[in-house]
Amino acid sequence: MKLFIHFDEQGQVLSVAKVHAAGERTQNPFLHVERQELVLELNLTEEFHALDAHEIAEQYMVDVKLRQLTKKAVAKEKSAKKTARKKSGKKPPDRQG
Amino acid sequence: MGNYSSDPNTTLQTALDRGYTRVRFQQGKPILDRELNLVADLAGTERIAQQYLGDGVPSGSQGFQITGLNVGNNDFNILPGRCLVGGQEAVLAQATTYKGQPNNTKVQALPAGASNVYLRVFSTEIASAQDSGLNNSGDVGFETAIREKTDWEVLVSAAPINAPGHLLLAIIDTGANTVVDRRRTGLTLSALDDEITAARGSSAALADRLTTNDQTVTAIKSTAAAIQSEVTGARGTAAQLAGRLNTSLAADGSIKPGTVSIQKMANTVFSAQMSIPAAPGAGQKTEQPITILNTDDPAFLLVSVHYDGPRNSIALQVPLTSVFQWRYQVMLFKPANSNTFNQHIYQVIVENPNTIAISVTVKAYRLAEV
Repeated sequence: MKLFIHFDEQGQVLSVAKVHAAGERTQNPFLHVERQELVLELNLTEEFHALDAHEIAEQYMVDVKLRQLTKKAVAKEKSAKKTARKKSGKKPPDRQG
Repeated sequence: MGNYSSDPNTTLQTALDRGYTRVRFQQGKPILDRELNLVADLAGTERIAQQYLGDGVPSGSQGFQITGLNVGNNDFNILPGRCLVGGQEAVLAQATTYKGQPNNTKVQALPAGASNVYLRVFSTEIASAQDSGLNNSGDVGFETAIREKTDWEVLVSAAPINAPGHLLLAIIDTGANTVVDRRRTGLTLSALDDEITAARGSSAALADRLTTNDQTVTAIKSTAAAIQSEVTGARGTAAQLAGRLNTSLAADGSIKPGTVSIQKMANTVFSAQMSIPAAPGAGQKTEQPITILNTDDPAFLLVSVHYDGPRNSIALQVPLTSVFQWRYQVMLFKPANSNTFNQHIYQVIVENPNTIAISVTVKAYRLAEV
């Protein structure tokens, strides 16, 4: 089963599809989207399986750079840290591993 | 009747009833007329011919064939030849007619319409009164033994005659002026043998044909067994088949309720839970197009759109209703670098007039056209 996330350029989820069965040419039910909108295709994990589609849309947003779903609270926290770093002029910590 | 010490016919029947087959004379004993007559009668061919040959005309003979019906003259022709009736052989040397036959005391006007023409054969005693040669004028000068002659007559009867000594020769129709020959012809053993040989070939050829047929029958049996095995394999035993039919069919042949489902009739082409964004405000709505099938062939679809959530868990004092709408939409698509629109994109458009996002499950089944 697949999870399709229809989102805008800010990562805002517009609509969610939890696809159980579809033809080869219609795996993605969001066949035609606006130019500034994108569709992310993910495997349907247990975490998302337990949620209704509208709950995923409400509780998650897309990390546009990483192309992955993140919880809105975490996303907001990252956004706040980024803003604070910009204000203080500090560089972000180096990634480990 | 001649002057006999015992009626020859009665004497013969008594001997046959007792199983006698021959008469043996003894020396020093007188010879009796009834015994001499019995010798001749036991050795006669009539009984053998009657019981083992039957009635009919020998091969190649036109004997007693009826032709040339002349309704106006109440007459017809009787062709010459021989005919066996009841073991007695009637002989007609020259062609004659119905009216002109030797024994014509029963000749009558031909009945209207269809009627039967019979040959009746009987015995007539001939004495010196009818044949002076029986007077033995060259020696004893008086009549000794008399003769018995096979005689015949042709009869016409509208009603069937089933009495012994009668043979159906033909059926004539004075209305249609037709004659249908009903004689049994070819009553000659050699002719029958020829006919059988011509029909079946020699014994060896017949054996070959039977062998071939046996092989064919064996092959057919083998094929039939294979077919039976295949049918049994496909359907199971008769009892199993009946069980399967009883599962899905009512006594009147109609399909039982619940036997046929959409899943059994159609293929799933789409099944997904979709979120539909909230309406921007009261009195407004959002539309979410959902692509369920992409094909260029005609598609017979069965679609269900089912509301999943959110389900309000708070109990209210008054009933509450909420609605959403959906409809079909077919979008024609012309891919890049294609000269024509070559795809039909079947879509479901779900409209959400609520100010909250909802989830619906969309299922689509496609029925095969043929």
